[in-house]
Amino acid sequence: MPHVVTENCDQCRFTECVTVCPVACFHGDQTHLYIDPDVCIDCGACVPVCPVKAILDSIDLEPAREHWIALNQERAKALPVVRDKTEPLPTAAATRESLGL
Amino acid sequence: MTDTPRIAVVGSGPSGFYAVEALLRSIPDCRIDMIERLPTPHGLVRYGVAPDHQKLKQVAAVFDSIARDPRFTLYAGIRVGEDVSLDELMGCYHAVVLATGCAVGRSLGVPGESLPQVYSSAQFVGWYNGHPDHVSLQPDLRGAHAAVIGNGNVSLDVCRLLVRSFDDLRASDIPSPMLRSFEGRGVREVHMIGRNLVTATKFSFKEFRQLADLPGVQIRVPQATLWPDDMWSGATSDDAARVAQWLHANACDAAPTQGIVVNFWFQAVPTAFLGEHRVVGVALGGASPGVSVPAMLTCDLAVSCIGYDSQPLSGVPTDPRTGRVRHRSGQVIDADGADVAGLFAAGWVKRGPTGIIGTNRADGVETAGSLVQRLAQLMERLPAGAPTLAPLLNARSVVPLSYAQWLELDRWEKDRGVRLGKPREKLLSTPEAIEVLRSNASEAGRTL
Repeated sequence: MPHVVTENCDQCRFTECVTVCPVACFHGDQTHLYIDPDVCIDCGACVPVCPVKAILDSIDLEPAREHWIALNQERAKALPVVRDKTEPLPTAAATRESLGL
Repeated sequence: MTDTPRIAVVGSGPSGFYAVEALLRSIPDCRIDMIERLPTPHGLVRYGVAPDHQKLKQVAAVFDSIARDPRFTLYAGIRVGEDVSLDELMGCYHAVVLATGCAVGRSLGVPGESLPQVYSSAQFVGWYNGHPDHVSLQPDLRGAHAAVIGNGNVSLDVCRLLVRSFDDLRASDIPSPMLRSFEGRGVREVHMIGRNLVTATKFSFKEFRQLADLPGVQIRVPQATLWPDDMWSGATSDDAARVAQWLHANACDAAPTQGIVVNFWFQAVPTAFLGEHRVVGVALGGASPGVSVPAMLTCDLAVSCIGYDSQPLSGVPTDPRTGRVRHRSGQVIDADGADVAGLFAAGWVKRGPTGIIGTNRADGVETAGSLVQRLAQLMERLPAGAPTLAPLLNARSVVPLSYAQWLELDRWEKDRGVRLGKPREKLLSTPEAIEVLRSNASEAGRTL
């Protein structure tokens, strides 16, 4: 089962994940990253490095959040690969705090 | 000042390849030669990642694409320290990056460790993955009881392969001779022995579940009936918390049922392997006073999965406390903290046996960054007309294997795998590999 980036990435985009992805399967727009499930090898390296715990193995998604599986697939295919770390969004620190992380 | 920066990367596992990737991206006009001791590249992806984790092994496609860069050359089957010395390499290249990993299984240092049927994970994992150093290990898997020491993902791999159904194993890339040993398995009970608390395991929960969810396998925590409730709180990580929760909910009071039983023992320290001609048991002590553990557990096979050490190349400054290369952000330094000009390190030899495949990408970027920062000085290291590796090897009649030849071997292994209903059937030795290349060449009307 693929790994997925979920709502916690929104307004954060810390991009720690892309530095440890062995297969460069992260794609993204200006506010959010997505995982290409056809490229991800489910190694899980990205999960612990995300400061806002945005990345989950899809088997760990509760039913109400399962739409992230299709959304990651769809958005990843439409957006460019993100390989390099960039500055988090200006809203990242506040968002992280509001998530209690 | 010579023309193009020439860099040697020693070792072709994930850390070697990610160092190459980072160097190729940051130095447009470089040449990178990767030097690998074995006839085949990819290091622990081929010889460490479990044979039933094929999806993880797909990372090899990334290495293939890095290797397609025209600035890259593989020299496989070249042993640094035997075929060519490190000093000679330092004289051929502006920089040398050591990415040689940690190939030595750490030992417990207890009596009986040299008994037959007691192995380190490096040996046992190497054996079932067809590592040329370990193919002759031939462990006997017919006994009913096995002990696996360590509370990390390697011990989970070893345990899972010992208990997983033969149909599953047949569909993995365990080489045929090793598969025959698994076919004759007698394992009914595995003791997983760790010195930490139940809340301090280093398993990833995902890997733990792969074991726990296997049909016909029952997980037990025999000590749990003696434990107060607060044994289950205060986990050291998210994964450790989830493992402890799972064990608390599912493994505490069930009596052994039919099928294979995996017993998890915590705060248990092996004090000796027992037996005369081969191991028959492991003696245990409590990790701290007052801890209750069985004095002895029966086993016909014992595998210690307690970590790995590097085998330092002679002449490389090593920290005696950690056994790792001394470095600052990947630049190797001597005992006084001064740069060893031209020498760098990446991966496990640099940071120890921790992290997973992807961890090496960030690590390779760091080492490449340290190298690029010093590039101007590095270019002054070699005189014009400095020697190059290929003629040096040629003069010694040492014949390296190239990446193109690896791709031929890779295709051959996959083709043979298809016929056997598995992802690949591995070549187990250099002579076998050479024979395949020779027969390919003669079919194509070439000489090797």
